[in-house]
Amino acid sequence: MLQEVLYIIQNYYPYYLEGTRNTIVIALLGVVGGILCGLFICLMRMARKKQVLPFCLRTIAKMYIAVFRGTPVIVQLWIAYFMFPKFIPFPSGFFLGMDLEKLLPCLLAICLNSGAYVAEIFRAGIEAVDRGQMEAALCVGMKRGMAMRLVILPQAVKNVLPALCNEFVTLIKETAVISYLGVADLFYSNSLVKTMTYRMLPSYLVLAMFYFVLCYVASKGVGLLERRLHRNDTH
Amino acid sequence: MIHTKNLKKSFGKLEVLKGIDEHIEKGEVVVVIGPSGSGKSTFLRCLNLLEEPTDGQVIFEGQDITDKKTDISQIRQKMGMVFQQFNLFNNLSVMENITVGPIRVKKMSEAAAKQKAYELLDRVGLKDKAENYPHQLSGGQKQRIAIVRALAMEPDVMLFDEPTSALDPEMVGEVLDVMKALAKEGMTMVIVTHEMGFAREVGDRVLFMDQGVVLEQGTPDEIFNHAQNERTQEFLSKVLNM
Repeated sequence: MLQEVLYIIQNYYPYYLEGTRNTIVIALLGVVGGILCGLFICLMRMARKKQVLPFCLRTIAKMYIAVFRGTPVIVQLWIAYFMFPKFIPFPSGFFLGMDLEKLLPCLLAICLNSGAYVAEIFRAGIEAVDRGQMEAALCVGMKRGMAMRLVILPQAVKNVLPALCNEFVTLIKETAVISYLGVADLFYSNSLVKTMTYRMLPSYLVLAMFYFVLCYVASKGVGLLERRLHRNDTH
Repeated sequence: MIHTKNLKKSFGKLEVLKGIDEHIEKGEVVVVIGPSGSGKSTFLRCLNLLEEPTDGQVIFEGQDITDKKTDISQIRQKMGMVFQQFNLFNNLSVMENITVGPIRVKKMSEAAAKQKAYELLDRVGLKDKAENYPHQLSGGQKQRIAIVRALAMEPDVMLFDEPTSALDPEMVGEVLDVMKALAKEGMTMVIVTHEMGFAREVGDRVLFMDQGVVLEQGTPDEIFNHAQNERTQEFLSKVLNM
């Protein structure tokens, strides 16, 4: 068994490396898109209840979060894959060996999905900022928007940074499903190797190894970052 | 200067303020005392609409600020507030804490705002802390900075919500000294406090609140030495004999 694993690594590692690079790119773009989308949804979600427009925004955001968290990613991906091209003219061509007509709808879906989770991360981060901070900001004459920008969000970002990095690690693993739509990520690379070698178990073991190293390194990085932030806290 | 008319506030079914009619004059130092849960803090927080009154009006310098059309952030610039928990902006340095309002809200130039901040910091003896962050300061220092932050907006009235209740006993004095100096300069102040000695010394008028109403009010001498109401006498005998 060990021999077969080594054989696959030795002969097919370029496939895995290419897949690893693509998975990192997809997860990174996914988390960045997710942060933008999540911030937007979060601000909608936290609109105050009392007026009509904010109440509508709030309700939409709540529904959005519920839907994206309440359906499987792969279902969302297939729907995105068939629906988005009807509205958005995606360019054809290849990026890092990935078909753009497949990659872009998938990436968009991942951003929207991740946005739902990130929105809740942001909300938790904002709500963790002491209520007195907002009150004090209002008392020096700031309006809510300015208080958010200058006082609340800078503190919230510090609260949520570790959770956001964890979201990145989650996306590394979760994006494996987009290979079902034919996007050439790490999981997809393994499918190629699998069909070329007919060695199922060894190839999956190699795949697991690549994913593990990727996630382990990423989460170690998160830990480092967390400690660093903490140090800044206490000087 | 501040006029409340039949001011009421409920949290759910609990009625915390049961109709308060008060008048705070320019230059007056009004001290609000009473047992916890009596609505003192809620009364104070209704004055600048941190709590939205359920009923009644707050009139500030002739303007009904409970009116929906009033731009409350304009009004709050003229009403400084100091909190029990200091609430300095944790992400900003002391200097930024003090100047963020003048610069961002009042559109003062950075140089002018800083100069003003240094003058105020000097007055409370904390000029050397300008570049520090809140978590590097003691409670008493934080509260003095919080007072400076409010003063930097050049308010017409200062509201103090139990400013010494969260402090170590040894730090109470330094904060009260700043407040005394402020009172001497003729600042209009409304102070919710448990510091009876301070209330007696600095207050022009003392309000005794209990269960959402002002039960009794008068000069410190009238309240502390000749209280008429039974509840007031009972409360004072408890807190003064400690």
